Amino acid sequence: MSLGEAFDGILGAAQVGAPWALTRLYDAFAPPIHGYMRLRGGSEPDELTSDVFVGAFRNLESCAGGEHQFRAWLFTIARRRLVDDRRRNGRRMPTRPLDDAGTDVTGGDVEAEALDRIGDERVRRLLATLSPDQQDVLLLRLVADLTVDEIATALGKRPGAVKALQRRALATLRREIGRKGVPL
Amino acid sequence: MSDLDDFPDEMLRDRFLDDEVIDRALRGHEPPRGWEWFTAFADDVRGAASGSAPPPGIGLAGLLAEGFSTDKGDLLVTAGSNAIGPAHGQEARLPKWRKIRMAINEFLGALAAKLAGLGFAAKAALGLAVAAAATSAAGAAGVLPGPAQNAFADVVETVTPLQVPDGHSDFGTRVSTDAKDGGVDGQEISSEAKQLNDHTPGPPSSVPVGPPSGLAPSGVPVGPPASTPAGPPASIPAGPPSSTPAGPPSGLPPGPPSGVPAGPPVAQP
Repeated sequence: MSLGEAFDGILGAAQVGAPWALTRLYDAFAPPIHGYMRLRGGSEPDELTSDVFVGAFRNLESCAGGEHQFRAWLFTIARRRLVDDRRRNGRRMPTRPLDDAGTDVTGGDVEAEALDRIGDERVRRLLATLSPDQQDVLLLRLVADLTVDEIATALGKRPGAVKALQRRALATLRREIGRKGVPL
Repeated sequence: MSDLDDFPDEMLRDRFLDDEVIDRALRGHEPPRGWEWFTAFADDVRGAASGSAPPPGIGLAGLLAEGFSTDKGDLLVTAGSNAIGPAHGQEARLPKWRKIRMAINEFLGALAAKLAGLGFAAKAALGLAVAAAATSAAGAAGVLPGPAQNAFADVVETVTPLQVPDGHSDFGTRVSTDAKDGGVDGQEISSEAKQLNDHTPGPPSSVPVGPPSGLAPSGVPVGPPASTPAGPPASIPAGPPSSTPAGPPSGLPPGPPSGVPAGPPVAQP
């Protein structure tokens, strides 16, 4: 959900603590943050999402720019929270090969079937075939709609490295989907 | 047969790895041929990340319900209020020691600038005045070397009603130190004191037994002694010994240096 032209006014009100403005920001940006946490395997996506917004609201005065910059800033915080979460729990998102997901694909156009329905769980399984950095790059591009440069800033990498990560990620995904098909 | 099969491997790889093509696909633009699989994947990813916001945690729920006030001490509000400038009367001020140090630095800087602008004659006159003042101060404090201190005391006591320590002024200090160390020889001290008393016309200033002649108990001169000559010799300043000259030497402006502010340093916001 985009706030459009109303964003500047909402951010200004939120910076002086107006509850309605804070709520608008949360309603607009919590779903993608929550989706990112969920797809990246955060231990408690709801709590992590709340943590992101509490941290963001504490530092609203340092936020300048438009809605896109605000979104990029939120996802930068989200990624840091996720890293903290992983350190705390000392575990990685469980990885399961696609073969274990159960296949009832019996033939036909595998890709066409894959186009129809790829559920949340299957997205996670596909993502699990990627490295954590590759997952971050893909999700920050698709969910947060960040540019290569913004992702490079968020991840502390060079833009060229981000491009390489997304190339490899897409190559892996294409290979997995084309070779194994996506179980339905 | 899928669209991917339409392309020989090399052609497909070249096109697939094109950053511009990847960028278009990731932005959700119409995918190039062979990228349909990715469109479905991207749609599902975006779908998984949309929907309604999850229920906020306890801390966040309170924040969303009540916001944050503008009361002093609230971290959020304190920082936010500073974003548009401090409230009237709450300007940040420099610590006192920094104000003093800034004033001293400004004064010294201005003084150095003034001195640099003086001519040779003015600098020479200023040097003499500073040397005389420093000598006077050292003599008054009794810290000159023995012979010099004696000469200074003789001259000052001749031309002024003041009495200053002479070169033997360390006698009392030495006695005191010896007493603390437990090594006092009464006979030796007695003879030395007698010798000093014979050599010095008045009572030794460092071991006073009463106010010196011409001095009130507080040390302030109350009147010239009868033996004071009518005028001072040309080589001694007419005024009492002081650490500063009576007036500025020629070439120095009468007022303070221009770089010294008249009032306290202005607080920086």
